[in-house]
Amino acid sequence: MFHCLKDKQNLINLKQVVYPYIKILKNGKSLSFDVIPVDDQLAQTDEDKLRNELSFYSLRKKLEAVKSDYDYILIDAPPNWRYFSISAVYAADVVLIPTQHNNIGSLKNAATVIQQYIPEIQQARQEKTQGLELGASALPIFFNGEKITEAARVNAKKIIHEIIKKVNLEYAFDLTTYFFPHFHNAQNTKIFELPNYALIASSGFEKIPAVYKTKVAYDYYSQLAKEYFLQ
Amino acid sequence: MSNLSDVGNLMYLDLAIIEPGEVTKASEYLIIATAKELNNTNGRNWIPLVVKEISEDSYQVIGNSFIYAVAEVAGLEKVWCIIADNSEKTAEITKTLAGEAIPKTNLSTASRDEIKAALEFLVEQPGTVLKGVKIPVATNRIDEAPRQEWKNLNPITKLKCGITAGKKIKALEQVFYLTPQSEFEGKPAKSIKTQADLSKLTITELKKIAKERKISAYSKLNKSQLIKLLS
Repeated sequence: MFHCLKDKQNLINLKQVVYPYIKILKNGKSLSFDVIPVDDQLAQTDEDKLRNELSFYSLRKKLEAVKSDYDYILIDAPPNWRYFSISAVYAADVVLIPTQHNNIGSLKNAATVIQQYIPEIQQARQEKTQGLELGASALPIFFNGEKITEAARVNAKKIIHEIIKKVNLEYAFDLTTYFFPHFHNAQNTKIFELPNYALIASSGFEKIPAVYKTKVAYDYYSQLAKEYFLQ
Repeated sequence: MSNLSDVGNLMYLDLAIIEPGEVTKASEYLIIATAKELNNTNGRNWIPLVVKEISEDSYQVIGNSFIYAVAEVAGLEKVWCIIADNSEKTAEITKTLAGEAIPKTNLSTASRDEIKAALEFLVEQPGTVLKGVKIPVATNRIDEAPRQEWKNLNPITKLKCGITAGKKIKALEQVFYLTPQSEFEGKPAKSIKTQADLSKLTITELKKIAKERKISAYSKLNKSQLIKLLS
């Protein structure tokens, strides 16, 4: 992967570094996805050294060449605003932000990403494409973490209201629909929830995606896909 | 926004994606011999090329073009580059800093010492056409001449200081430029509004202001009529 990103002359196609995963169902149909595994060299190289050979648009350029082969391309980005996440968001069309309902830092970070970082990325991508591409937009946040009690949910929403009010006051930026996507519908404050599930985390040990192993995981991800992508 | 730009970064780029820009004036010998020395060491150009990004993964040299020529002859696949911004001013100052362009002095406002230094520089050039020009005399005469109003360097040929029209005056154009100023520079005619200001000027000066303001039928007016017209 590192070599592929470093190649600025389009000599290495991203397809050369993907690993396909094909599942044949009982009815004979098959489902497949490709994975780009972690590249140790890429992960262990200092950010300064990475920036010697990679630009923030390097990932987007490589994905651009293969995007017509896929329905969806998912990029898992680290929770910081450094080279990997900047490259990921720059390459993306939409950004899905998991948050923790019981962590004010997490909720505030989501607000910063939506109000500040994503508009910056949009501006950079519009400049680079002479306005042809808008750049990433944020999808409404969802809660991902421990099971949420009703009291905790009320508390989280109260804090979100405060964040929305503060950002609106300070930056004249309305975050409402990013936190409460159904707010226009009688001020509905429902937030999508994807609870932690031990089998999802441990599926890595078995090298089988959790959705293929358990119905619970399958249902969680089906709901996530329906909420964000299949409407 | 620095994360969304490579400007200022030191990058290790493929020579193939860098356009040469202005070709170096260095001799073939210097290029070939330096390339050989570079190959005999570790092939790393410790003095970087200065490039600007013209599009994604495409760059152009704006400074140190000698190093580009050397890298090409040495067969380097990648070179170390500093990424500069795209402005014309940056390109100009970079060339001057790299010793590839001669900085110019504004003769309309230059001090006596600056004129002297520029003339000395020209006379010291190998193969100078200004041989025999007496620097103290030329400096004196140019310094004392009404150069603030000169629109070109030709009046120098009339100062009898050994600098004649043709090659010699052309040589001076390498180091001097002019920003002709009117008599009222720094005190633009349009800013003089009060009658008190205008009454301090002579009839000739008042008529000049009228001319500059493109007012017609001022030639037969007396001083008080002119002041009335201009205030």
